[in-house]
Amino acid sequence: MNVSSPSTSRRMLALLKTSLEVAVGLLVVGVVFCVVANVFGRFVLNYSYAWAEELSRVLFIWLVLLGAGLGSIDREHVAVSFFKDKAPTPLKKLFSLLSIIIIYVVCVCILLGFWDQISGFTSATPMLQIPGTVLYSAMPVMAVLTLIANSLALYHLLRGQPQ
Amino acid sequence: MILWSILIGLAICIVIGLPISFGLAAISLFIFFYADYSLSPIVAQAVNGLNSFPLLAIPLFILVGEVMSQGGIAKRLVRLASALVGFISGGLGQVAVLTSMFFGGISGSAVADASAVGSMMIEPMKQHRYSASMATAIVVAASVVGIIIPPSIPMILFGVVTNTSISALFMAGILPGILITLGLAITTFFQAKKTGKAQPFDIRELWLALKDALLALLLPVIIVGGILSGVFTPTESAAVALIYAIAVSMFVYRSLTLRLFFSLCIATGRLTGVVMLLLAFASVLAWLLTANMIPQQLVVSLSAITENRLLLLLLLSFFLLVVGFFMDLTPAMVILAPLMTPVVVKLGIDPVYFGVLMSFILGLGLITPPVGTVLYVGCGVGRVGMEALVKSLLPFYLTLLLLLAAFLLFPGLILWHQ
Repeated sequence: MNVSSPSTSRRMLALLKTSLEVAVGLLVVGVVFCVVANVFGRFVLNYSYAWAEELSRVLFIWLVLLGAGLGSIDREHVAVSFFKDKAPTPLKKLFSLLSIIIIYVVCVCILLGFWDQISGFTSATPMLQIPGTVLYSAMPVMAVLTLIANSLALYHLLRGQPQ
Repeated sequence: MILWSILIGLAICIVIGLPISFGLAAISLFIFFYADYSLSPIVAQAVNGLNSFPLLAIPLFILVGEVMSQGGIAKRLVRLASALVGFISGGLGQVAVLTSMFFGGISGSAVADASAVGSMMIEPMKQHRYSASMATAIVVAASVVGIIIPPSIPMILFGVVTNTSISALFMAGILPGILITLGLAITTFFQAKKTGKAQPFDIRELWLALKDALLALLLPVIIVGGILSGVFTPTESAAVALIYAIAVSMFVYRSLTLRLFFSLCIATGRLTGVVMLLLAFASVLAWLLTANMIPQQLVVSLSAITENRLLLLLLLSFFLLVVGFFMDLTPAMVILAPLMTPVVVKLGIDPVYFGVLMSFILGLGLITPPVGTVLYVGCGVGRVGMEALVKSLLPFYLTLLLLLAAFLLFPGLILWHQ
């Protein structure tokens, strides 16, 4: 991220957030559509759409992980800040730094784990033949979004302006 | 070793303020490195944990709650509750408690319940000689009902991670939910007696309010009736409820536009992402626990302590209460339910009973300090300090603990339908 021109980076971040919000909103609509189609098929047409069930689960996985990425950027993940808030400032900074390092390690491991996972055999979904890679690749996307958010948090911590 | 890594890892998370979801991932990774696993399960098991149809009920119920609170339904529920119980002493407090129960029949989450009911009820109560902390305490305590009355997001999570019937859990939640509402109404009666009535009883107003809220009241009937009669699965009932809620808010109440609906979808997506990421990483941990036979070992060591069901339940309840002080409901549920359920089942305790009990105890954790999401929401909505709020909550804690004791002593209160 180009930290030397804060306004450009801020604009890019805003653009990223808006696109993520639209994507997450559309995924929710997609999940709703599939589940409703399934219910309509089962109760009205007396016919079960297996594809709708399958597709809804794929969309749900992407919804969760993109939503979680958005949550990382907006710092909405559930955390206990009680003890951290009570700590003196230097300790507070140390705790923040530790959290940032741990999140870096987790995200990098997710990226490596994804690489491991797709280098092996992954099965496709039974009806729609959606490759397993499509399901699993939501994880590295979440990891990259979290890495961006984490780098921002590190930048703010080093500049002495906690978010 | 694994159990100790989890305990120490979570303690570190709590002390340094690391998001619990990433903490769970870090704990799993630590065990991977220690036991020389490859890294792929962190991706594969997390995604597999999400790949489940019953979980889809969660975003759908969140969206139903959003649509209903934005679409004019909550207002009508308050009017009906006022007409029903407003004439009792401490009337507005009673209205808040009853509205929470109605709303809990739609939303399935205590946080949604507290923010929706709180934003409507706290101000009028303040104007009616309630102190800010008392008004907020009533709303905060009453929101616990939202997770016991079906639908219930914690119960869906419990059902998915322990393979227990979600429909049976929902069914079991009805009577305890009503008892909790009654208990809180009685406490409110004594706490808020001197504030007087909200409005005199008027049969005409009751009739009008009932007519106005009829379409809204049908929603819990659809959700609960559909699931309990076995016609719908919980996910299907959530979809039907959603279509109904959209239709009513858009075409009858005319307060939902497409633009507003899309913004509610975005809000739902955010919340779903944050809640379900916890489940995803907890699934990796659960996989590690199962692969290493930890639940079985736990069964053996806990059975060595006691074979007495009540004593074991007391021990677990106490442990869950303590966990609830420090941890949010969702992470506690997804981490602990798969560990504890095999232990209680081994002693012949019904998993449905344990699921409702666990949801209730961890639900209490939402309103107890130092860490309680609903408590924070209450402080924000009611604009009161944490200390004052907790002080006003004390009699409500007592009532809820008495109810917990009753559920422990008389399992029939939860297993009433069997």
